[in-house]
Amino acid sequence: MLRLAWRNLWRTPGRSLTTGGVVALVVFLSLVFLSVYAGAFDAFFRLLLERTGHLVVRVEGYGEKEDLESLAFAPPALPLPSGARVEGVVEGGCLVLAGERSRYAVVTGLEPAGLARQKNLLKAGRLPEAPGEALLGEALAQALRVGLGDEVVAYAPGGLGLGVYAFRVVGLLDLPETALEARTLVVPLADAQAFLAPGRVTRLEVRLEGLGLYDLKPLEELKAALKPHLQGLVAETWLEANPLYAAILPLYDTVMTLYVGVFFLLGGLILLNALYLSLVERVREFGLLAALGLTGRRVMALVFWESLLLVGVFALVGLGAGLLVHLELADGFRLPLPQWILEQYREFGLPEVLHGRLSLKEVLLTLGYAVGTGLLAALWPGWLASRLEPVEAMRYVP
Amino acid sequence: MPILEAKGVRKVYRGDGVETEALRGVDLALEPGEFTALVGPSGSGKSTLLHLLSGLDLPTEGEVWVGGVALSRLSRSERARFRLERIGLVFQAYNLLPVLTALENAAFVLELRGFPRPEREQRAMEALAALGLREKAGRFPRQLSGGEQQRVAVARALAAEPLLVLADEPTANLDSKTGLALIERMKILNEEKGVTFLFSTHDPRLLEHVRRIVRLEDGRIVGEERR
Repeated sequence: MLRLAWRNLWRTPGRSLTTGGVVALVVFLSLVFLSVYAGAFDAFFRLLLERTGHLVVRVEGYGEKEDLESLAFAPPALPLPSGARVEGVVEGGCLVLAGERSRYAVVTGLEPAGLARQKNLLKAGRLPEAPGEALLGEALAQALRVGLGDEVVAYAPGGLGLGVYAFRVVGLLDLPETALEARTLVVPLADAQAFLAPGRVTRLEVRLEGLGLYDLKPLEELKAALKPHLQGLVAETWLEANPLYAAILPLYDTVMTLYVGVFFLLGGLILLNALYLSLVERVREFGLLAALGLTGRRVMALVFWESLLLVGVFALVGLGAGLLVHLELADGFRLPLPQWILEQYREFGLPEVLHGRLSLKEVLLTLGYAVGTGLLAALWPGWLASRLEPVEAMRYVP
Repeated sequence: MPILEAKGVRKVYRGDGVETEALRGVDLALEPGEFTALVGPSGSGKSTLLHLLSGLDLPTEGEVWVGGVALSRLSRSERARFRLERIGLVFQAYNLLPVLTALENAAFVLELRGFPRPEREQRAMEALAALGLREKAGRFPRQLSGGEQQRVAVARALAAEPLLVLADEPTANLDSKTGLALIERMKILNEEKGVTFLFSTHDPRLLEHVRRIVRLEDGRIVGEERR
């Protein structure tokens, strides 16, 4: 039966090659799309992880607290696995003064590693290297009419710290949102603590080594292990700390499935057309098969085999080509997008070079779609063929 | 006991509000090893009767037994399976699957019945050899003449060793010499292997070779002759 199905495919080689070519193209495009899509998705979430850290420790109920006194805490000693790093961060509101101008800003105190991560956002100047040096959002600098080398004074009286601190602007930051840029002041952690809350932080970022991007289980385990040591504090995974972005993550599977589904729907229609034409051309032959004793189920099986063989062979061709291109994409690629969109990308801190990613899940999804399409497309022609009355079918004149 | 028996078989076709009575109460019995021709003019009901005898269609009235099995009591798929295992069929034209070689065509019914490849090929080759087609076993139908194609169809029917072979005008598309040669081959197989044959024809020259002639006219058996 398999041999008959295979040879039947090559009775009309042009049609089989065209239809199979479409199947191969659909599989190829699906894999390339999935690789690119996953690469872009990963880049976005990797950026988010880099900015947040794997785990974030803050005071309990931090979302409902506004004053720095309630939000700042003395960093506790945490039992972390080897290779893990903890970085303290202080964040608080202040007034920034320069000459006769002043603006509200949020001062962020970062440890050296945190400051180093600002490098991608640096529009001009350099990173702070000494106490009293600061990075200013470019919009804030424009509003205050200051530039590199100028001095600004941060003012936040009535708190735990000095309440006033002078900084020299050594770098300007380019951020995706102008509103955010207009209230960004980044300084070394020690300066921010002296200014706002000596010896305290408003959050701790725990960074781990060797974890996969979406490897959340070890994070949950670490979170549980840290809990007894966090009195009055709470640890969140990077996704919990970014609930809006975390909500996007489940969409990945849905979007991926839908897109690939649309590709295969179009391919399936072409396949259905080819199978139907083949049925119409071979009505007499199906009549003969039924007359010789092929049951309706076996006639249907023959049509399914023809469809599955066509889809299977060309899906493998598409799979091979798709995996080859994916290997290239996995080494790194630039999105073929207009410059103005790439500018936006850069402002968000997203890398211009993305790395394609395909897991077994995506490959199986694509092949599953191919097999499913083969079966679905064969369903109607197969059913029609199985219902043919042998006497009528053998009299049929195409 | 007859190998094939039809009793009171009527067949009425209904279409567009018109009823056409193709068979008007046919009684026929065939004993094992018979070599019988069903003759009659076009439209006399020969093909309809063969379709009913092979279970390709069901009678409006009456019953057909093959090997003691009442065909109307079988479901569509059971009748298909019954044909596959018990009846060899040869048609006027479009007998062969064009993508299979003569050997593969001859072995096709055995393949459907699940015979292992070596056995089915051996039996198909023997059937082809008996019909003088050993040398052409590897050829595709398009590489065979009309007579050779019909002989392959007969070989397919014989390879499966059915209860009986029903052939609907197997010589209709052949010239008289080729048609005669085919009937002679069938007769030899009948005599040597005891295969029961019933075939329809309207070619009077072929009738010299048969032992029994059943005449059909206007859907009725109007005469019978034994030799």
